[in-house]
Amino acid sequence: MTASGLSRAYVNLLVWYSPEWRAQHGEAMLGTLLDQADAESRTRVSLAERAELITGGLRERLLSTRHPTQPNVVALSAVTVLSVYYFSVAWSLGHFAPRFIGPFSNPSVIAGVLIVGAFVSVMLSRPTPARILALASVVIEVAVAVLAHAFNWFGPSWSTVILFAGLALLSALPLRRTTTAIAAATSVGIVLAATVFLPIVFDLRSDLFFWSVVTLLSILAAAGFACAVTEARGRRPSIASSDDMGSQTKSS
Amino acid sequence: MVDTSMREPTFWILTALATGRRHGYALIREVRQLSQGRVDLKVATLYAALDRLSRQELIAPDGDEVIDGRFRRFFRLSPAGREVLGAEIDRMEQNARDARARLALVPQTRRMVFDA
Repeated sequence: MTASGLSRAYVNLLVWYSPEWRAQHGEAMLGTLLDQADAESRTRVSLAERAELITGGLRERLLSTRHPTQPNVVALSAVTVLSVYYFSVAWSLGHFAPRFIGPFSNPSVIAGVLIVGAFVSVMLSRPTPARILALASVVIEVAVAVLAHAFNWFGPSWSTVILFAGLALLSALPLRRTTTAIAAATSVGIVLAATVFLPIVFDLRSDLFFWSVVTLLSILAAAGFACAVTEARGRRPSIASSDDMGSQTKSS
Repeated sequence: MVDTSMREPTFWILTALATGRRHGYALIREVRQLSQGRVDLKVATLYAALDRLSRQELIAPDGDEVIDGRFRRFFRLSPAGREVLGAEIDRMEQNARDARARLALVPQTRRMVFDA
């Protein structure tokens, strides 16, 4: 492999890191990787290096203390409101079937609880637990849907899973700001279409229309509130530095 | 109880920077040498540590240079980093003194048990 080929191979591996990280450390890391390859007289990326960069990148994406962007917060607000709405749909106190979870008819409320936890974590300026909870909720939602379809349990429809998982992923992944904004706007648009416009088209007078409007207003209110809170917290440097001090005493 | 001890890689990175600015690969080499081969930093681990230490303001970037077409970022120890490293050395010295004192007590303790 030529020197430029080696350099290209490292650049490809650095894609596992978030764009923000690459913008800040990418060039310096590349220089160090090439220095190390020179010192070891290597012209290829070693297997250990490959594994190290992949796991390092994933760890950085999932566990970084970077605060969520505004589109991340909007997506999280939308999926939180949907989850709360879903609690009411799955609430079946007084009825009982063998696979009910307490008063709920549907085990996907567990994913909803995790998302609410993620929302609370973001409000408390705890981005790492928020990201982990949001990603865990995706895994649970998909697992519940698969099991429900396989064993004929009550479970979320595939359209609900796609919407929930899509919004939860958008809330957690450090994608480019514009990509996240477009995807979050599209997802919120789908939610609006599903909850507001379709009921309007089919039946203006139904209860569903009323609850659809309530859901829409809740999404907008939650998103506005969450953005205002995160913006206000972002302007207070003491909160960011207190996070850092926590990691300093434990992990430095 | 809050763990206030410093991990060995962090200790050696700060120690390597105590004598002046270093770039990434120079740090890897120097940490390996200072730790007598016990700490062999990987590039991903090094930059995760440098990022964290920069956010904690224990180190600071000290300029970028392109040498032979290769980008190098230099880091230096901050006054806060020097203070934290000094405190860690004090803690390690205290631990070593306590441990050595305990070790010196062992033969006497054994004798007391046998005498009894």
